[in-house]
Amino acid sequence: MYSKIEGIRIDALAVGVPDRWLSLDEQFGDGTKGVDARNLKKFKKNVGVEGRYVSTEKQTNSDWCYAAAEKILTEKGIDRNQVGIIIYITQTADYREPATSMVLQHRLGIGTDCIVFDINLGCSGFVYGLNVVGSIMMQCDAKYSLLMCGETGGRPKIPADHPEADTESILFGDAGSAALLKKDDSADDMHFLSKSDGNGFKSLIDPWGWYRNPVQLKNVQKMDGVAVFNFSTNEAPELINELMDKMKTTPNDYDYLVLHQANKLIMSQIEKKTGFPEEKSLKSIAHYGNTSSASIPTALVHNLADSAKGKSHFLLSGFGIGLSWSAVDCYIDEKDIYPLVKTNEYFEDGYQAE
Amino acid sequence: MNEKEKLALLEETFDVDEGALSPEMELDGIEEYDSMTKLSLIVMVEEEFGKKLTGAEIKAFKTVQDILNYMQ
Repeated sequence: MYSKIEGIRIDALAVGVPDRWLSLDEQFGDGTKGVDARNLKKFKKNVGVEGRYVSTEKQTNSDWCYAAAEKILTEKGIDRNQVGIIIYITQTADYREPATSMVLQHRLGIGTDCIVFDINLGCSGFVYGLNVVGSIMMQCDAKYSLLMCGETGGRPKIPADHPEADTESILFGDAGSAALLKKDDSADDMHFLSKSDGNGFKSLIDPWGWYRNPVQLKNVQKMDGVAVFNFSTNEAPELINELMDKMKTTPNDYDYLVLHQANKLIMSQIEKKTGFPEEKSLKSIAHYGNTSSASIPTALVHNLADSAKGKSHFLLSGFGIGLSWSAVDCYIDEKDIYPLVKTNEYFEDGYQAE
Repeated sequence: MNEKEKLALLEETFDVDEGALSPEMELDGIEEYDSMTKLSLIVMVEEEFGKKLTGAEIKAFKTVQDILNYMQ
């Protein structure tokens, strides 16, 4: 599906992470966590992860999104009654109910003249979110909106001292993003192409512990690696090429390509198939791992946060669980990309397990 | 590409020493033939032979020879 957003700009972008950074060598190097030395070396070479930010047990993704959004609202001096939309994209919500975006509204002190909800999407989420928030903004009187994205991905949901504890993730890292969108008649248009294929819902799935299969056998995300790899390296480049055909652009017309930071091999295949030189493709996977829907913002922050350059032309593309994939041709002023926000703070909600 | 060249290419893909693979070897017994190698195999086959390997085709490979037969 093609869509065009007019009169809306990305006014600020920030990413929050926990303060703790662990290298794969220090976390998995002793061989006791099911990853031997040969596999670790191969994983680092092919997937491209060297280490990730990993939270302690108390923090969840909304804590990093909150820190990133708070930084933007404070530094820009935004009137919190003028934020009319809050959308949080996550698959690792704080609670079964209500939506975590409600908690974020509360913590950020946003007024009630606002629509607030979560969207359950993964790696395609940031691009989808821009599309959804932009579309609603075009139809309402909100001056500002907040789009927040990410997962509690670095640590197991079930703690290590529990008999059914998860294995520790070697791929996923912790990061939460916040983007402030602003109505601005002079903004450049954003052009989106988005697709979904529910036939692939089993390619990436955590089927346990909810209403369909309520007994929590083990909190394990199941992934058909070959299917996801083939999907990512075939459908994502096809969509990007389709968008460039539609826009009558070539890789020369863009300053940067920013792909979902899935893994190094997947990204290099997409670059080859779309004709983007590697140096135009911004990367963050080595230092942050795969951070799901926060990975495109993370790559932007990691590479451009201290840039003094003004407006640049971007092609962003996210792809993954669903299956779901999306690409956007847009402009972002590099000066609106904030430095990384590190925090160990977490939300005390007043609940405690018996 | 002759059989010897194909085998050399496969050894590079598997990240094993030259001469480590022979056609009759069962893939199940090759430690390096793991999930990451399968992804490298998909990339190699597409780049060298223009073919797109599916999960079902990969599952059907039992020996090194099965992969060599596919490499054309």
